[in-house]
Amino acid sequence: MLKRNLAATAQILDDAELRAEDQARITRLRESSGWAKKILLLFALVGPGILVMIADNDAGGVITYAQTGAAYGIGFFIPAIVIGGFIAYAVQEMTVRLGAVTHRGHAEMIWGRYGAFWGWFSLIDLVVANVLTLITEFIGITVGMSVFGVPPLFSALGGILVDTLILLVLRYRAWERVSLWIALGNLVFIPLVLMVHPHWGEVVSAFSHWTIPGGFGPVFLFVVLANFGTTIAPWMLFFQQSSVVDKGLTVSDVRHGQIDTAIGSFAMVAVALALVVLTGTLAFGHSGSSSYNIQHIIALVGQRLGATGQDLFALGLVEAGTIAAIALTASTSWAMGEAFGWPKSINLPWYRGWKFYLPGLLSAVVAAIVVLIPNAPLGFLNLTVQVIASIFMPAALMFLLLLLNDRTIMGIHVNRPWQNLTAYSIVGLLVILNGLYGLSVMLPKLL
Amino acid sequence: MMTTNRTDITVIPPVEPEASPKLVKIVPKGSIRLAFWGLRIYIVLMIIAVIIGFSHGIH
Repeated sequence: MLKRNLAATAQILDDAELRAEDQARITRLRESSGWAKKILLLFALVGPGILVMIADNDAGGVITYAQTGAAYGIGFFIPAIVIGGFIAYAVQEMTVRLGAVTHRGHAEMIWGRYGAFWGWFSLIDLVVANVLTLITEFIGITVGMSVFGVPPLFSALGGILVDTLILLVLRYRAWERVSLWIALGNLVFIPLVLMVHPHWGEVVSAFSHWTIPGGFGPVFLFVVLANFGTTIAPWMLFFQQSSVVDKGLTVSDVRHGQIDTAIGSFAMVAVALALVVLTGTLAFGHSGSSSYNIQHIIALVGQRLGATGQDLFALGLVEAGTIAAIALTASTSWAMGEAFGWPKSINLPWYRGWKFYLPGLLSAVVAAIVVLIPNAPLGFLNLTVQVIASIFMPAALMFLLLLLNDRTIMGIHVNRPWQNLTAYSIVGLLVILNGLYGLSVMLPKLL
Repeated sequence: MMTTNRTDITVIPPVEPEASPKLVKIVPKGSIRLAFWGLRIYIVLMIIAVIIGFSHGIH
């Protein structure tokens, strides 16, 4: 008993020391004057928002945007992606305030405020959806690395190794900084789009002449629903709120958290636009381009941009899978820790926080194994992710809005009327689109 | 005393985050209760759709 108490005390002290060090650094920067210090403060406080938004451009996202550009060109989806960026910002900004005010993660808030039923419901949905989404990340990693001749077994092992080492060896601040460097790789699609010399006039005119290429039909509706419906994934709410809490942000840091989220949204939109414009320029209009898979697209990029272009595209895909795997793994660990009251911080050394780290890493290992199983029903699993997300998303958004309007816990930081108006409109739109998307996946003949 | 090579944290005392309000489970009333029922109905409808979809060979 004494040994256990000592271990628990040491654990708290380790975490407190790291947090005190971070807080001292932030306090010193905050009390300093001058633009250089202000910029340094911003650099110190950004992280969760950029990470969550870049990780949303995951391997599945890269594939979807690339296929959308190939099938529909750049007409309709350019403005739609920009609107998606605003939607993502509005929703994720609420998680920043909730985390900074309550110092509790999303799972802990649902569990504590709405009881075990909704707690279990959210946790099971989140964990299952995260495992299934991780499968798509490992598909992206293995497909991308195959361009360099790396067998899937080694790619998957490499992905697991990077994910595990980053999570277990680094403490929160270093984990966040290394993840941000990896996230920077997502921007590789921007120089790639410049290499294809797109018709920028066509890109600009997409905003003034919002047209539906090929007319409105069930297939097009499906793509619209896929793009809008997955703008915000449930894991994003859990990830950013827990990340804000683990980073130790307080109400004084909300402004920087909002800037962080805005920068992330901007980067997410820029990369998504780059992908649609890239394949919209390279592949749209080709015979059969509406049914191109990611291998077709990589081959086409290679034909048109040479080996360098192809390698960059493949690296972007690998990076997208890797950064999303890092975020999803952490999100599972945080949610489990919050739900069961375990010590829950990336500041914990692995030998003290193994219970916290294990669920996330286990989910990544399971996903990597599934990808390596010959003839695994990957398409079916992908559909299941969408179905689960479409069921879970309205619940997650409803809890978010209820919490943001709960004066008992939010105090003066509750949503203002205009924020509620925006939030309810977005939630209403996302609920309808998620519902329709779920139905279109489950009952394709209905729509 | 906690000191590190990079930042002397004894120079500036760490700012303690505000005390987190204690979480108390709420009993949904009024519009919140309605929202929870709406959510339950949505979930049941979606689960029925999943069952129908899977029984007809979801693709």
